[in-house]
Amino acid sequence: MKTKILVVASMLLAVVALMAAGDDAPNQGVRFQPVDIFIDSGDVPLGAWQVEFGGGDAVELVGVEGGPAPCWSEAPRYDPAALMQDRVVVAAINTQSELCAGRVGVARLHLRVQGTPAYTIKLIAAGNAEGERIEAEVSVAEGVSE
Amino acid sequence: MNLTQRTARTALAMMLSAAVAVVAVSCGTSEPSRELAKVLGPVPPASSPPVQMTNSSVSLRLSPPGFADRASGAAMSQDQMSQDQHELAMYGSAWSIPATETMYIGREAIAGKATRRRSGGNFEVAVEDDAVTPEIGGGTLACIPAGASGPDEYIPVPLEHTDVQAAIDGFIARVGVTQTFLNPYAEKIEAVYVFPLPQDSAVSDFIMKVGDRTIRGIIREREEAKRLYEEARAQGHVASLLQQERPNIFTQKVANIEPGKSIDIDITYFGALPYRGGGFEFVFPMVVGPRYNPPGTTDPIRPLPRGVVYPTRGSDIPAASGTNVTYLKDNERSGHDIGITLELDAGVSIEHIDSPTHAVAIDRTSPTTAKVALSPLDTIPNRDFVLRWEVAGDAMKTAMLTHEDERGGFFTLMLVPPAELEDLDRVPMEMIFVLDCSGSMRGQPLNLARQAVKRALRSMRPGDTFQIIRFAQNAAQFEAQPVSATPDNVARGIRYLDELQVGGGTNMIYGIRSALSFDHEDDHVRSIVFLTDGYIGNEGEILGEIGRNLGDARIFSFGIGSSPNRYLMQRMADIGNGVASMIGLDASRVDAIDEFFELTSHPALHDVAIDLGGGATDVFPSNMPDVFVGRPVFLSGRLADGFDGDIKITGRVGDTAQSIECQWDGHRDRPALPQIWARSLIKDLNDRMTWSTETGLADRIRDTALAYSLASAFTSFVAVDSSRVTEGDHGTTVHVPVPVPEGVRYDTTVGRGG
Repeated sequence: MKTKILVVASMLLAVVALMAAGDDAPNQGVRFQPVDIFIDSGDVPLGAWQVEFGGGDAVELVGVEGGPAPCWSEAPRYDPAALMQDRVVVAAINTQSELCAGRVGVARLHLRVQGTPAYTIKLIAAGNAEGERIEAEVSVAEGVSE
Repeated sequence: MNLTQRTARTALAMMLSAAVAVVAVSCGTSEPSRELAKVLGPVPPASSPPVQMTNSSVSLRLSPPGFADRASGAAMSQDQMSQDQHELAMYGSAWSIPATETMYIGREAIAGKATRRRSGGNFEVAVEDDAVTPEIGGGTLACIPAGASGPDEYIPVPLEHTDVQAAIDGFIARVGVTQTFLNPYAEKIEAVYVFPLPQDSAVSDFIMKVGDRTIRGIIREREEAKRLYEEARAQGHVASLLQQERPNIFTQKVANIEPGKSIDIDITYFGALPYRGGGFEFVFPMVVGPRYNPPGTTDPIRPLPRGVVYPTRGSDIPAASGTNVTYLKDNERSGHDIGITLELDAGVSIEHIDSPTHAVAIDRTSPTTAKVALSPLDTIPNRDFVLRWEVAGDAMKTAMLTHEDERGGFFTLMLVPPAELEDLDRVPMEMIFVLDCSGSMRGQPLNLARQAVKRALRSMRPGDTFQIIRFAQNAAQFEAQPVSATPDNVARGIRYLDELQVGGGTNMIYGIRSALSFDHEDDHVRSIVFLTDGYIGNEGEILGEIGRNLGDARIFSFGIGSSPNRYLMQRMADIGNGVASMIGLDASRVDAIDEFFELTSHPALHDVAIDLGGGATDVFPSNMPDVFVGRPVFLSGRLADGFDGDIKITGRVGDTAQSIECQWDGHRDRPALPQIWARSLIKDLNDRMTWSTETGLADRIRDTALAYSLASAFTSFVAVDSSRVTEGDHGTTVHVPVPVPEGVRYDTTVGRGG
């Protein structure tokens, strides 16, 4: 394949284990819950990113939403082929002129959850507006269903 | 999924495309004016009047300047009116508007903003132009007699608007459809809407918009998606589910819509555009016609009157199976309307562009491009939208488009038959005409079918033979065996046609079996010509019968009516190695039957083989079709490694070998091609499922659809907003009722159970 890969980020592995609620969780059964994905690109404006999210067998993806930051409000894309292997791979490219730097919420994943899963997140790639790889950190936080 | 420059360009292109489409919407809206508009009338009755006559209303079309009403040809030319006037044209042979009537545009009364007077033989109505504001909207102008149930005829539905934005590049279309659901009730609801899409559309993207938030739906196995949706619905989350019921019929469900709240659903699909009768066609179907389901149908498309809950009387179909489509009665109107904008880049010079079905505004932006907008005042979704454009005949070349990404290479090839075929004559033919005489064909549809067959009979040659079969509840035929096309036999055949009566169900299977059961002479080419609206729910049974028993016959299918079952028409022709055409409801389209004669007047190109040097794999359709003069065919496949543009296409005409040149413009970024290829594979597998005993076909469809993010019979899109739980339980389920297609009688279809 002749494709040039312009963005190959350093593989930052940020494994974040978030134990949901604890023993006194109100509902140990099936529920729907958002999780938010944050990327911190420091001083460099973030132009593109790709992450792999994990939650084990207890989690099913039911929607992908953009983040709260205006520069990432478009719904990211997910990889359907990866989903067939129970992997959640999500990515987005910002083609707007305004880019965000620092720690920004880039996506919200909508999940069907059963039990108390441990969430993991791995940054596959991050790039700047020119498509060059950049250093960044990724994290995930459990959202609240109001 | 890699982050690449290619992907960035793709995303950028898609976003730019959407932005351009928004501009087109703005261009299609006329400026409100305070000038008065005049009603001209009466105009001569049109042969197929677009007026909708009901018991208590006369509906008129209102067209702003610049929109020509092609359906009647009675529109006022633009130079006859000032720029700030609206044209109000009246159609129909028996109409009057007593001064006691109240006038409505859509659901809004405009009484007090309109005056009327009789002037000589003409009747004039002056409407204050600000009555046609975007707030009131366009659509049908209804004049409701005083004391009649004017406002009562308005049926509030939870679907407010459908917006279609199409971008066409050559013969590839990318279409975005936005459905705006709005809860008009005082309690929370689940909205259920059954709607059509083009039968070859590859639905590849699904987005739910809740307020200013955008949630992309996920492709899942059908049952899994349904389970996820129902769990989310039960827990009070806003959720949506898109299911495919047929390749051209989908069900959209939206759960937990709160009172007064709006939710948008965005669907994106790709497709290759057919070339018919000398031009390309973009078709957007708007309504599912009421189907007849023969006893034993396991997955019916069930027509129900509004407010009726299945099961209805006398049916043996299990209530849990199938799809329910609810219909408005003739005197009922909903506020649901539709807008269509289209950006066309034909790639070659456009000779003519027109819509034979709707009023449109056409902006020729260059010799090869155009912007088209549906008139905002011709927006009742009760018939298929068709846009046709012709390109110079010598511009039609066999051409291949390719695309590469991390999944490999893909191509779509438009194969144009060599012009030399036009110099060759055909062999004698045996023509079997099969007419649908069921209840839904009553009136103009059967009249058009009769006219088309008569025209065909008169065009036959002495050496040809013919047979006529009619089917409804049962099948019957003109003669025991096909007869020679002598003048006397043709005259008797025409009398037989004149005596045909309509009524009863649509047991097409009897017509199919009759048509395929004759012995026939080897020196005649058998062509079976179907004329039907295709309003049946057992398409699989019909296609299976054809696949198993076709023999060496060809099938030519003609869709009759304003919204025929194009999926059935096209698949019958595909499996039958023939072609499909649509006659519509316009008497002038009866000459579509001439195209059939033109197609069959020359031998077809057969034994087509494609050599792409490095190799092509998984080319669909897998049974390479014959190619008729004037009817290009589309092939879709995978490129093997090593393809360098070396393309050799060969075929045979009779015993003579033919070589066909092919144009290729190099690899370009065409993200539609993988989706179109995957959809072609699924279509091929679906067809085989109807007649083959192969195992594993369903699994292959499911896996392909999941890998390429496509809706299919075994995969659905689901989206859940997990951020919020709405108050109360999941509310009432409301089915969105739709009008019966224009030209179809409610009382002989829905009213009688389909």
